[in-house]
Amino acid sequence: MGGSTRRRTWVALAFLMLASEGCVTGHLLDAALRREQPLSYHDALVDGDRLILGYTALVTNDAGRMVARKERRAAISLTALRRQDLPVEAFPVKHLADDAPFTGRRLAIGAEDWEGGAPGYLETEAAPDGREISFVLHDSGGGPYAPFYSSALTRTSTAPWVYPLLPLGVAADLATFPILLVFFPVMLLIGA
Amino acid sequence: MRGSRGATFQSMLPVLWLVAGCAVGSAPATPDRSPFRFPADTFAFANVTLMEYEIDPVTREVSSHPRGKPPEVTLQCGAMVRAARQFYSVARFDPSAPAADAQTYEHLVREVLDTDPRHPPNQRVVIPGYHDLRDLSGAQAPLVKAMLAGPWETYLQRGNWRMIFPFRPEQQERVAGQLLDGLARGWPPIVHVLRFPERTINHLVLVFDAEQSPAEIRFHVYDPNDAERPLELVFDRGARIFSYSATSFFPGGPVKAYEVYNGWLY
Repeated sequence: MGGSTRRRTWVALAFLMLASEGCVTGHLLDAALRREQPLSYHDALVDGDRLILGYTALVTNDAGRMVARKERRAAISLTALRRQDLPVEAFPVKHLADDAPFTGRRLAIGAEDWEGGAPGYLETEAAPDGREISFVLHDSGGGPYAPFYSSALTRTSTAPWVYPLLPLGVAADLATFPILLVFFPVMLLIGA
Repeated sequence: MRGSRGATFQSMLPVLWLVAGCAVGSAPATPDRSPFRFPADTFAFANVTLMEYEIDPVTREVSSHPRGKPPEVTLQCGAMVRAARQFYSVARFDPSAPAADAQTYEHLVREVLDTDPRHPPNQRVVIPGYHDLRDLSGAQAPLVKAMLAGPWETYLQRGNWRMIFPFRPEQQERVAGQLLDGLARGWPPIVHVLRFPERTINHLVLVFDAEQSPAEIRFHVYDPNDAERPLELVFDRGARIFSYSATSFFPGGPVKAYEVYNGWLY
């Protein structure tokens, strides 16, 4: 009976710790978080109702430091691009394989690369640090189009080195969590 | 057995609720107040970091060394933003009334600072002889500095317990919504910005305005370390992260943020 109660207490504690993402485990996962956002666009093609994009993505860690660059491809719906009311977080984006073929009508990137006879171009806007943060599609075959914000293409992943460390993180959290539970009410009582 | 397990789980629920950081208080609105104004509703002096910082323009690495002379106002970012909001919600400045003596101002400032920092109180404290907090804290700087709480109020800010736990993107998205909600209710939120476990920034600021675009929410903040200009806390809607402006001690970039002086938990 005593053993069963102890087991239940440990299970409840482990559940609590995991539900709170744990201090050590959570920060390990944060340290391994990788965030990708477009740096510059180099390919744009209209394929049916899709705009196919090829871009260089900047991979940063959770503190915003660059850790890599990657070549990425994605497709966005032209119907969605015509809408003016879609917030970035709700914009439908399909990430394609990095070697997905480019098909369709090729567009110019930037007005300066656009020749009068070409079907259209992406008018890009860059941030002071050089990242292309948005573009407007100018295409004689459709439109007008709303600005597309590059952060809609944000991808997150977890660096694989963290997984072997997670058991250690969980063990550290299990050991320290009861201490935190004791100090938490103290902080509430004396805190200003 | 099932009942016992259920009871164990139920008994843990309040703690889980606390630790998960989902508890959000809701301060009532202050409809009779005009929006918080920068610089009028801020202090004329700044909180100064204990160390002097140098930021490498290329690597953005930060190095520090002690200042020659310890600053007069330091480690008081929490005390200053808390007091700025108390003055905003409680004080009514009457520049047309004759200026009072130092003892009267001491009494009035004490009255303001003794109010509940988490809720707009019903009482009003009329401060004669000055246009606003900027005016008062410039003319009566020694008195106001002496009456602000010391660094302990920042160290022991009740919501500090939250900083050691991780912040996930969906939680940061909720914080952005919560800040907009506070502004809509006329109650400028106080925000803890940090990068724990890194020590590059661990700071309290007051949000007083916001501009929204489809890509981001640009919160305008009063940073007590900068009396000259408002800074920005920007929420990227796509990446669901906050970024803070470059300052004399922080090179600018991603931070975590959560509201404090909000409800009994924070």
